[in-house]
Amino acid sequence: MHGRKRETRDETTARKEASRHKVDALSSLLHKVIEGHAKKQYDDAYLKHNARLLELNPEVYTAWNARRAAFLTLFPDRDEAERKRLLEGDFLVTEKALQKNPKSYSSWHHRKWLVAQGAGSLTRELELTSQFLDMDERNFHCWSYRRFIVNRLGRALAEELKYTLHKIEQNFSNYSAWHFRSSLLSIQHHAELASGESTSGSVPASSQTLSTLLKVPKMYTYRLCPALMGTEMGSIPPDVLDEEFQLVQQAFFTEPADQSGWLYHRWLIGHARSGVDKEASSATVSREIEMLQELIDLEPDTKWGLHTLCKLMEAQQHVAYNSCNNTKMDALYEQLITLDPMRQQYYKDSISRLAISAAS
Amino acid sequence: MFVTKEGEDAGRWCPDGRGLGTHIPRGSARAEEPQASTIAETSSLDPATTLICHKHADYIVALDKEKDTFEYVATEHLRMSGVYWGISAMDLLGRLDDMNKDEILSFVTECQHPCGGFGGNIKHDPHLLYTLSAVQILAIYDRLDLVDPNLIATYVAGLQQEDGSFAGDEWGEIDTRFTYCALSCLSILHKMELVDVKKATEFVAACGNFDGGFGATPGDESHAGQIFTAVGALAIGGGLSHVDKDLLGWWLCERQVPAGGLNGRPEKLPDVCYSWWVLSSLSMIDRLSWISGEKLQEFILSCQDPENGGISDRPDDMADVFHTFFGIAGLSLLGYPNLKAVDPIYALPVDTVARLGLSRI
Repeated sequence: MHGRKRETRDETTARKEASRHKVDALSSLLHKVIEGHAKKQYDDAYLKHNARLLELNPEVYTAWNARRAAFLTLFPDRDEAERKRLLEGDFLVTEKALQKNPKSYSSWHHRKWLVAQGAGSLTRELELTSQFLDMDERNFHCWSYRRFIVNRLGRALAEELKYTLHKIEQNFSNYSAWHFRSSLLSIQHHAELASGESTSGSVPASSQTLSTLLKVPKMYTYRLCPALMGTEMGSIPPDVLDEEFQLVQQAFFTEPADQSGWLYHRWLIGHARSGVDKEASSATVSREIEMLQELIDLEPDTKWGLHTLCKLMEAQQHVAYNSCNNTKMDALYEQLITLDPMRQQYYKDSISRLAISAAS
Repeated sequence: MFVTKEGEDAGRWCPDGRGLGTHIPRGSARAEEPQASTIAETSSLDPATTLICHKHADYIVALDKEKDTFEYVATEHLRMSGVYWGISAMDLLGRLDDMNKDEILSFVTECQHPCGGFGGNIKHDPHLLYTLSAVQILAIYDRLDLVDPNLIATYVAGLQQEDGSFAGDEWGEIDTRFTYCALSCLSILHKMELVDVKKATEFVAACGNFDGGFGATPGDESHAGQIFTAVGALAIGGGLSHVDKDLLGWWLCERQVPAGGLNGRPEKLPDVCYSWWVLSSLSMIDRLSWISGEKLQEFILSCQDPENGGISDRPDDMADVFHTFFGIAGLSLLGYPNLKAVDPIYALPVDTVARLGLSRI
């Protein structure tokens, strides 16, 4: 049981005794709901029992299926206002379920289904995701739901980029926000690249919406993201890249032991490394190396900083076609083996990889 | 509105998740292990250093005896997976014979619907998650003859979407977990030709992220559980070239926290189930040695309930069958002595995988 403290046998017996009534009630409700669904006996009373069960246990996926099946069965005999009332009422059912378990896949899916039926207000949903993410900034279900709403709402990419920046500035450790930002930037610049190839003078990607950029109808749960199909490196222009480097620098100067910024930084290095303008790339990488040296002077044992320095030096070899001098990198990796022995084999393999590429 | 516990992550991923398995080179981090035959029977074993196999086996056997507990009722909808976790753990422990095979097989067949799919329990709707668990159970018992492979495979294939993804059931939820379930199932049934495998793997590739990991749908954050399903699906579908192994391997090895356990995303708490998701993924991309097996083993062992048996998510929490299986499977991947080897792709004992003709080598 996730996060539940172990009990002694006596405590278990006592808890069982105390909860006997609760267990019986849950069991009989569950069987009523499952039986009703099997016999397709759907009516308002059924929906009520079903909602009560989901409030107690949102994981009963069959009960969510039953709600949708019940709506589809009942709708032909109900007028428009009544259908609307039923669908709108279900937002509360999912809210109660998500209060019970904020990571319930079935509950989030049902909410998407309701929205896909045209129920609810997209603006309100967007606002709710912001509230929810203020309470739990790492809930990846909510981030995914937000993208679904943003897509249907036709919200401009730039607005969402601003939102990720806001979340990152609230807390540099919000890896979910860094992730979302990386995916938005990929989409934006992939789209700019594509539009540059076809028509010039078109609307900048940042003011376009996610759904237009992805060239998909605003319909269901998710959309394929062409920017992420295959690793489309090098599509982020140097000026944008520099802004991102500055942003992430604040993160690791604030909290050098936090992983989020460093993982994002490595992604940025990848872009700098494969940039089309080799001179600009080289300048960026050199500037980052200097900055890392400064950080390492302040924090000599920063494992993340030392590792990032290795990655930057490798990138510099790549962009400047330097003949390989791996001595400095080997020394850094040796230092990392001492600082971070759990991952020593990763560092050792990195040394071997460098040696192989130097020889080839 | 909604609250979640700080740092809890595997939280709700686990109960719906899938396991895997593999053959790993044995013996690397293992030298100090106590020798075999002493393990199962001795009662004075130190749970800090030893897997108390007999207690875990007794714990699993007893799970089905008390049907009036809150936990039993609250997990009714996923019983099929519960059975799969239970018998897989028992098989790895060498105690499969202690389970009531006839009762289990009749339960499994009773959960099948006319469409071919299986529900999580009798009268519960069919779903890919439970269809895979059912097929895995039948495979372990070598009783796939009890079902019509064409019927199941047709159900599974019918859930593939135009973009190559799979819906979990007729209600259209899309997730890389379901791609894994579908491909694993079809591969076990030798019916891969019924789906567009290339498109399926391309969809998984489209779920790839900046950090080398994978999420549930394109654009979703990387998560070790989803990474297992994505990499597993790619391994089965012949699409591992979509994985940046060095980048993903680095991200995965950074899941190991100072206490030795593994977390599922950056800045989260460790959890025994990631011993499976992270470790199997590392194994599939040939980078198992990038974490400390010794420290991870210590962590898993510290999550044992020394009195009642079973393994929990973290030390001193309540044990459950899910973490018991993934803890044992993780130890098996690490080469712990006297456990059957587990296959990292299929999350099945390697002898089952070999019998199915699906071994990697």
